[in-house]
Amino acid sequence: MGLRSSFAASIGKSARWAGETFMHRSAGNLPGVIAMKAAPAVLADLARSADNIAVISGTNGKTTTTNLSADCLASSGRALYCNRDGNNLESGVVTAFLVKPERRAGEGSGNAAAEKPVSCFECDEMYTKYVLPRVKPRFFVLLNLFRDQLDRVGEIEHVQNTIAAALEGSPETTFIYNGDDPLCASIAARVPNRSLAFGIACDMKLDADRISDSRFCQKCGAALEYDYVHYGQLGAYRCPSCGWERPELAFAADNVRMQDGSLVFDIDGRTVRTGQTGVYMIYNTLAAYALSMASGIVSFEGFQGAIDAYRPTNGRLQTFCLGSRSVMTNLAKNPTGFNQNIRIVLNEGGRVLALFVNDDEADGCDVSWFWDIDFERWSQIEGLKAFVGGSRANDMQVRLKYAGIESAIVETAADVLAATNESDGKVYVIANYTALPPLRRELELLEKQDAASAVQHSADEAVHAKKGE
Amino acid sequence: MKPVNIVHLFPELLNLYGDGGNVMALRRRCEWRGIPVQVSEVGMGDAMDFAHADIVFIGGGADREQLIVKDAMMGHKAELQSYVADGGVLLAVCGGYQFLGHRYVMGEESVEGLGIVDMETVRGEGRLIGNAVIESDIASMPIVGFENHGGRTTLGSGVKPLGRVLGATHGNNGEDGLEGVHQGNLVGTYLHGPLLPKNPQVADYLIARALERRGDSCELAPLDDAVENEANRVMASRLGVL
Repeated sequence: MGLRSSFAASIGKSARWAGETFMHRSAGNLPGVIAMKAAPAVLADLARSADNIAVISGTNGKTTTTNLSADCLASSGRALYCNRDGNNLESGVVTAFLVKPERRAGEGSGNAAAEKPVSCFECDEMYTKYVLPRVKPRFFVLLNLFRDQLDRVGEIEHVQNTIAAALEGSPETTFIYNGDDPLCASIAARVPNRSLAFGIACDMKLDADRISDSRFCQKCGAALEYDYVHYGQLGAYRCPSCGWERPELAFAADNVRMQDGSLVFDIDGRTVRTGQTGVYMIYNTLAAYALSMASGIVSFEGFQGAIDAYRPTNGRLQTFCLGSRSVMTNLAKNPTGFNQNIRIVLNEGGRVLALFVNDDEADGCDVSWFWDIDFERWSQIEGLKAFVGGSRANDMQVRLKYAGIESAIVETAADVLAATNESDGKVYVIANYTALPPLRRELELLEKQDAASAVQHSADEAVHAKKGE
Repeated sequence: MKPVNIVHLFPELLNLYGDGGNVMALRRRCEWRGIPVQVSEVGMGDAMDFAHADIVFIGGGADREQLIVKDAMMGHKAELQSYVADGGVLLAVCGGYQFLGHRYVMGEESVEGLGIVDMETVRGEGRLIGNAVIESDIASMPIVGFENHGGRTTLGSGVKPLGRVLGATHGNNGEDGLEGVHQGNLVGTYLHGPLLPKNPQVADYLIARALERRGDSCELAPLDDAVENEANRVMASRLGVL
């Protein structure tokens, strides 16, 4: 590492230490920002200290897939650098390198502990052009491209061009991508990198979403024909005009089915358990599988063990128990994400829905996309109780009204709990990017208070019982 | 009564920002009043029959989609021109609005438009993006929405805009304070995507003109618009209007 980068790394580390010690909070992007100010090339230098396995991007599922993949890689026993909290700009990746790598007791033991740490990073789509050429990972994973925050990142074509340029800047990187997504496949077709496609090779018999990003040929513009559509523009497609089609799948999930309340699929003669009910979790799990197998350092048992043990703590598909009430939270920041949540609620027979939507810069200021979500699917739910919150609560209330759903404006998750009762069943809280963390904190606090009052309650009962004797 | 026929042009391509919300608003506001209504979606390669159209809607698309649609649209230039000349109701937003002019100039390249409105669009430096609010004589409430466009549109002399920009809204070109176009029963605007749900007066204006053109009563029964009006008010006051 150059003198300037060493210096930059050390002041970045000091910033992290100061943040965590005196401000009692995770330093987020700041140490990376400071280190990059001191030495712009610091990332390339830091990256040399690790065996950089993967950079993971895509519109939906980045944070979850990065965490799953990191758990899988960690099962090898190697030390690991990862931006698990979703700080996915270049500064977030730099910050992750400034933290002591995590290490678990894994099956690899012995030799693994002595080897170079590995790395696995989430990266924002638009920052891949900085991160990929500097980190030069062995694999770049692209999960999907959906319309998201258009006022910030521009149209999808612009995102595709950025990712293609990123890959060209790291020619030794193997491109692992979602072959079911024509928007990802067309990038693979134009970059010089070696590429491997993953996808779902069977018809899951799902209704197509009303609005999809591009069911048009990426080569000639003709309408694509689909043998089946999973959701959005994802499926088995072929262009009737020029013959362009879904590429051959190097990692093909087949025979997708429900088993013991969660989705499972077959691949390479084995069965993989996702532990979840959302169809998109098949893709996230499949991407982690592809990366694990391609890395050569993760065993199948290590992979499945990591998936089985995965418990989200960032509000994504997280369940809170408050006495007799149960609340599930999930992130949805674009139509495809919301449509997936709508399916989860329908699959589970949910009746209490609370949608929280903000329009901060990180969310995108334009909320026109509410009208691309298929809320009409919820309008038939009997006894439905709907609530809206966040800085764009009024817009969501209008959207729901036109889908035939009456809703009330609320401030917090507690308001939703107060307006409903146990007989209404599980509460589904769906929130966008900046709306989710405060709800998660609120529910964690409520869960703690509930546990404390339960202890108090049983102590009171014990005293009462004694008195009665 | 014959159903009000809403013709949605190229919904599979011109749907960048929730444009379908406009069709939902028109349809629902007819249904809630017991006015029979139907939506006809016209896709690529479908026949276009404007003789039976009461309201035509054109949304916006990404650059790629706009180019795919352009030729199909030009193939029906004459029919669309005569529909509008005959007082046909038409709403075009964002990219669809740009199609209405003589041409759209992007650097060296010039894309021919429908020539329905005397106006021209030139791609400028950077995009004009943000929440938007305008005042217009077709609505007593402010019209609120969101704009995001690289093109700068200039109306020909004597062409009536939809309204005047308020607050920090950019409007047609960020310079002359005008927004959109309102010519006969045609409304074009850069306030993209779901314009009508939060501006129920604009939706009702279009429905009333369509009924009037057919010779039906254009007196619309009042609806409870509390939810829509509150969403409109919240945004207008956030933007310093009201």
